[in-house]
Amino acid sequence: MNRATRNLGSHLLLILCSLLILLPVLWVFINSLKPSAAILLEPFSLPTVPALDNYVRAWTDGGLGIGFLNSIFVTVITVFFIVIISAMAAYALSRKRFRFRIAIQNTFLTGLMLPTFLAMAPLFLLMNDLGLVNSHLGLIAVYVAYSLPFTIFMLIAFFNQIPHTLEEAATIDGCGPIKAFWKIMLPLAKPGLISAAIFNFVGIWNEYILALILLSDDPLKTLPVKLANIMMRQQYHTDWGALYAGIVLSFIPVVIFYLIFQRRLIEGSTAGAVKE
Amino acid sequence: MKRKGDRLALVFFLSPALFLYGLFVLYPSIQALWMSMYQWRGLGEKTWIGFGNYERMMSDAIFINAMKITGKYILFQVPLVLIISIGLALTIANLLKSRWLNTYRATVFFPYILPGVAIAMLWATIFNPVSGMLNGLLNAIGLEQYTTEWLGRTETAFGSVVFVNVWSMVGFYTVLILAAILNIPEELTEAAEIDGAGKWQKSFYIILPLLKDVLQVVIVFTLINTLKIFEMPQLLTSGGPNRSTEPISLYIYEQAFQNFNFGYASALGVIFLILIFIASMLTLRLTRGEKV
Repeated sequence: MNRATRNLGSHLLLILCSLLILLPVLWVFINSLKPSAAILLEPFSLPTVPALDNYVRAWTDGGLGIGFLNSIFVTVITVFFIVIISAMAAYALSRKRFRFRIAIQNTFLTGLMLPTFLAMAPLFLLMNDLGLVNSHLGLIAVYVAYSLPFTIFMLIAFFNQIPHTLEEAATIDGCGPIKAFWKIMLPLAKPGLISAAIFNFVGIWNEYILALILLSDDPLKTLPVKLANIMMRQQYHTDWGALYAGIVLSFIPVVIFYLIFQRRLIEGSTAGAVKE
Repeated sequence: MKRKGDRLALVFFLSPALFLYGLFVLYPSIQALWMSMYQWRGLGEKTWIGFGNYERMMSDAIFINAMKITGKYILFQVPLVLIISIGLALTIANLLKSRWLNTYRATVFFPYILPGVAIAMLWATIFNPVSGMLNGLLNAIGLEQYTTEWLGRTETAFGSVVFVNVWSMVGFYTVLILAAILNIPEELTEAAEIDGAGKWQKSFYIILPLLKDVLQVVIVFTLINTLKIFEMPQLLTSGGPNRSTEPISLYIYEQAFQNFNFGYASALGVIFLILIFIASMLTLRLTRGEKV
């Protein structure tokens, strides 16, 4: 009995699962290229001529274009600040020995458990008092704050693996701690920083609840909130083509990311848990 | 020998993270405790009512229902995710050293990176009674009698929401368990093979017992993530029909942002935190107890 037939059962099961995962996604993609009438009447047909006007309608009439750009803007800025601020904190917690180190580390650790729901109402009122409701700045600040605990722990684990020797040499040569961080640690930690950035990119791009609470002005909303709005309105006004196009639009950046950084993304998001 | 420069550097490194985290995460969380003692609609008069909000919960039928539904989600989702992810991980691990391992791993993980809102929409269109894929397929293979309004009927709505939740999260746990399986030293499994253990015997008697640590993590994570589900019930069913799919998270949102009962919503949030805390501690204790 050769290897292939021995594993036939495993392959069959896994192919079935793969179909269950990929077919719905494919179905949405195919339908996004069909005119609305064809979607309703022949849901399983292939598009004769790909109808890109679904995308045009979704982008303009559906307001998803603005949502898409808002999401890109918020995600990119947020990820940049998450990585920088987490790296700074992780560096201090991994390399320096000081009195409140364990206390600070534990404070961040509790953050891994604190659910958004606990603080939903107080957070909204705080943001309201600060004048940060309905502003991208406010949303970004909250995103960064909520992403810090996980990213800091991810980076501490990474920094701990980098040998101290180079930094020590630099310190002997008279290099201050900030310069040592900037010139020595950051370049050495690049793979870890990239993993953290990719992981957070996906998380922030997909985030829905905080954006739902903190943004109510239509021109400011991010793509998930815009999509959800379309879905709620769907009962009254049915533009299936644009709806499917909207779903595909929200998949595009994360799917591209996944195709490029698949390994890093899988390993980055599971690393912390396996090491425990 | 602390120099002044070192201390300044520490402040420089830690203060941005501590400031943002303290202001936007810790402060609102602590404030929730205090706010849960008030009757307050965000604007206007704040009235101190002590544990009034907590007393109100005891007789709030919708709250009690939401707690039950949350429990029901846990009861179904945690075992389902656990069993499916263990099964998938073991099956994928069987294909060790074949190029298919990475392909399957990547496919199974794929839903985990997609936006939850879009996943909800995708499945809403599939479950759609008029043009949805599911009813279409059932019709095509002659099972018309099973076509139904999947998300609109109490009998099927809960199951459909659980299905979508499991669909979207199971890949993550599969990959987690798979990573742990691949970490098991080969000598152990090879020894079993030499002793004549079959593939499934090997999985059950050698691999599974070695996975206790990661399974503990998986259970805690699924439990917490099941307590947190929001998008799927909100977007697929709006908690309906008849609140039969409404978890506590959705009820908190409703109280805070539709009824503007900020005090009551905070009290619900506190209960929610206690739930998560108990759930984590309980699982840790249970799985540790087994280890003996």
